[in-house]
Amino acid sequence: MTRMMTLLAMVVLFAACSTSVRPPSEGGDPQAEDLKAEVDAVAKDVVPALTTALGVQPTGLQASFTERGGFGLWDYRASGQFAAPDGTSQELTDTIRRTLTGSGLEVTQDAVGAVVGSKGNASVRLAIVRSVVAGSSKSQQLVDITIGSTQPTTEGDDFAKSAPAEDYLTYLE
Amino acid sequence: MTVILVPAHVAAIEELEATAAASSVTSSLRSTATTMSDVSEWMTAHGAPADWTGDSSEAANHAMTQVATSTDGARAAFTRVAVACDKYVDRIVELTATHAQLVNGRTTVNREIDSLNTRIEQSTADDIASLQGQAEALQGKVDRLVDGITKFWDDVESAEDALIAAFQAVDSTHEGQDAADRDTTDIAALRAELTRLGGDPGAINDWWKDLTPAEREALKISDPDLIGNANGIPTGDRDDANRSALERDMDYLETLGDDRTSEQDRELAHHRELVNAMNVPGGAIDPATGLPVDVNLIVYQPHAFNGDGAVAVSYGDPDTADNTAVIVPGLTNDAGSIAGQGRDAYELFKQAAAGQDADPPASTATIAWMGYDAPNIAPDDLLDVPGEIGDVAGVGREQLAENGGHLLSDFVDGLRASDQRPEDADSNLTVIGHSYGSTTAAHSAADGLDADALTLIGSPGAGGGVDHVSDLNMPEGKVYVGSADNDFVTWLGRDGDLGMGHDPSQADFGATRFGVDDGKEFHIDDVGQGVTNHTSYFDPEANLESLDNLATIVTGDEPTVIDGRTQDANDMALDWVKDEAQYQADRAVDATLDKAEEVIDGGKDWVGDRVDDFTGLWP
Repeated sequence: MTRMMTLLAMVVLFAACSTSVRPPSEGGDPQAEDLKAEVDAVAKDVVPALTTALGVQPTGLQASFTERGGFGLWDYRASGQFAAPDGTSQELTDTIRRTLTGSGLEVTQDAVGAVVGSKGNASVRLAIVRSVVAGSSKSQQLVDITIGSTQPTTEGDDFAKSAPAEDYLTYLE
Repeated sequence: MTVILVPAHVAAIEELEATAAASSVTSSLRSTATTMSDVSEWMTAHGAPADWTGDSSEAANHAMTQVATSTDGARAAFTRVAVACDKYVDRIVELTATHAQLVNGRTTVNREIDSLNTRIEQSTADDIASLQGQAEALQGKVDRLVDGITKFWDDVESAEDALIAAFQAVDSTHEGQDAADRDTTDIAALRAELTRLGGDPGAINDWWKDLTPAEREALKISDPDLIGNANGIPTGDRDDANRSALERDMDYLETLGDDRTSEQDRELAHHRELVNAMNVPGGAIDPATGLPVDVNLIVYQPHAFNGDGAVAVSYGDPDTADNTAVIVPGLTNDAGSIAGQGRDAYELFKQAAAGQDADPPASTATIAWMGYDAPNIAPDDLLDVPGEIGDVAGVGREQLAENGGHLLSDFVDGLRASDQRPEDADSNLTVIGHSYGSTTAAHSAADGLDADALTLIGSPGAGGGVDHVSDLNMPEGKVYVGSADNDFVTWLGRDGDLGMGHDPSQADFGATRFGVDDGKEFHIDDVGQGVTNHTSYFDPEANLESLDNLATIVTGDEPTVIDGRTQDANDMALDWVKDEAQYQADRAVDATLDKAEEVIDGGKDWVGDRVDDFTGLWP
């Protein structure tokens, strides 16, 4: 009984506390406002560069803070899509890698082949997906893009909670 | 000289200005009609106040009857145009597909023209007959394409004309009143019939399909809260009803401004989160259809569970999808966290689409289902001890999970009933329970859940009375478990009166355990990392292994399997506590030593300084 109560108390404590994700030795978590500024700065470089390199505008890039459950952990992310850029899958991958590297990001490829670029607390992930063309038997390629914080932050709840979702393309202009 | 007539390039096809997003206009029209319907019904049901008498009472009654009649006319007018708008949007979706087809056709034919021109430039006299034949065939293609483009724009104009005509038919009070007079729909009888059918989703679906389009529209307008949440009603119709109810409620709350109560502030914040959840895909293309991801609001009950709210959002249409996933969230969630739940569901949707080899890819729908009362704390109401603390204390007991399990079963039965695929090829449906949601899903399965697979992630336990995977009544081999070793919630599973049942990732439980990233180790001063480990199962960067395996399960394939745990879950927790105590003790010792060193060094400096001071006094 005592052991179970300890464990349950642990859950409630973990759920209620707002201790950092990043340990104090790494400076703790950044404020939500600073995290947003850091991600936005990367996006300002990367999105126009990718738009030029892929030859198409991304659609639906909307940036917002979202909370993980009610835990007080906030992710800042924008996701969108480059529809039907020209090139084979390999050509697109090469173009994306080159573009992210050119923007000063450290670039890797994850286990499912998506290209991931990171810089500080910001990361950009691009996955190439094959799609049907509506009303046709043909196929096309889509490039899903997600820009956001590498880890959530526990600091600056009020800012994160009240920050409205933004049309990222308009915002970045 | 021989002349080969090569067709000219086909000119660019203009973009279609209308998009399926026009359906937001339909939602607004429907929402306005709902308000008119409410006013009309209220006015009809109520007379002047009981203590009014004489002329004033008669005048008030007369005025109220007049208002009721006028608003009913407006309601009928809005209903008519909402139906017309729905038809228009359906037509625009078809025409958008035709447009994409024509644009592709144009690209192809123009490339063929360029290619023919190149061949002509490089040809010799011997090639002329063949090239002339190719040019004629190409001209035929161009002519058919141009005819197709002309017909396309005619169809667009015709759809617009039909919509305009529908608006013009009821654009005056008189015409609206005529529409109301001709409207013979007996709403009260329809409502009564739906209520009589109660919790039988199959019967509700059959009954709904037998209604006329006008009757369905009338019900969506008069009773959006009922239609939007009745399991068995098709997803698209539930979405129509719920969106208009949401718009109605947001309009009302925003109009209140500073007069809102704190409960209303919370409700409005929930609504805004819901809008964010519905906007997560932001118009991105669904790889299975080539059209924007179909987002549906399938549950909308803002006042359920003492204001925690019940909502569910789908990405993709579960009525037509080859694969469907219902995600059940856990501890600390309510309608106010639906945007984060929606993001998780959409990540799963994208990964399921990305990982497919099939051509064309199978279609997917993922649903963030916040349709039960999960244990949670509303941060603004921390001091509401009986309500909120009582609610979070629910994590220690299973009543909320049991209740939620029944609601989950009913919801899934509704999805089965509204599935439009052939009877023998129903959507492959997976229920994924996360955290306390896994206990809820397990309870549901133990009581009879009509799913093809059950997946428990970050689970604190599979519920009391479930000792083995066979107690979950799923098809053999179709219970999957994902447990990160550094996810503290997975250390809670235990048998006994307290706790939430067995840890389903134990080898002897018998479920299929799939690989996930275990997450980083954490201490009490970066416990956010522990919570991150618990909340990253859908995160493509922090836990791609988990997300990819979940997507594999959702598409009906087998994930990467790992061995079940052999160490008792509670022992993992106690190991952590012991290690943490040692770590904190070491740190305390280190800190004390550092401090002592600092003091000694400081003391030496002070003595040295004083010696220097005095040294200067005596030459």
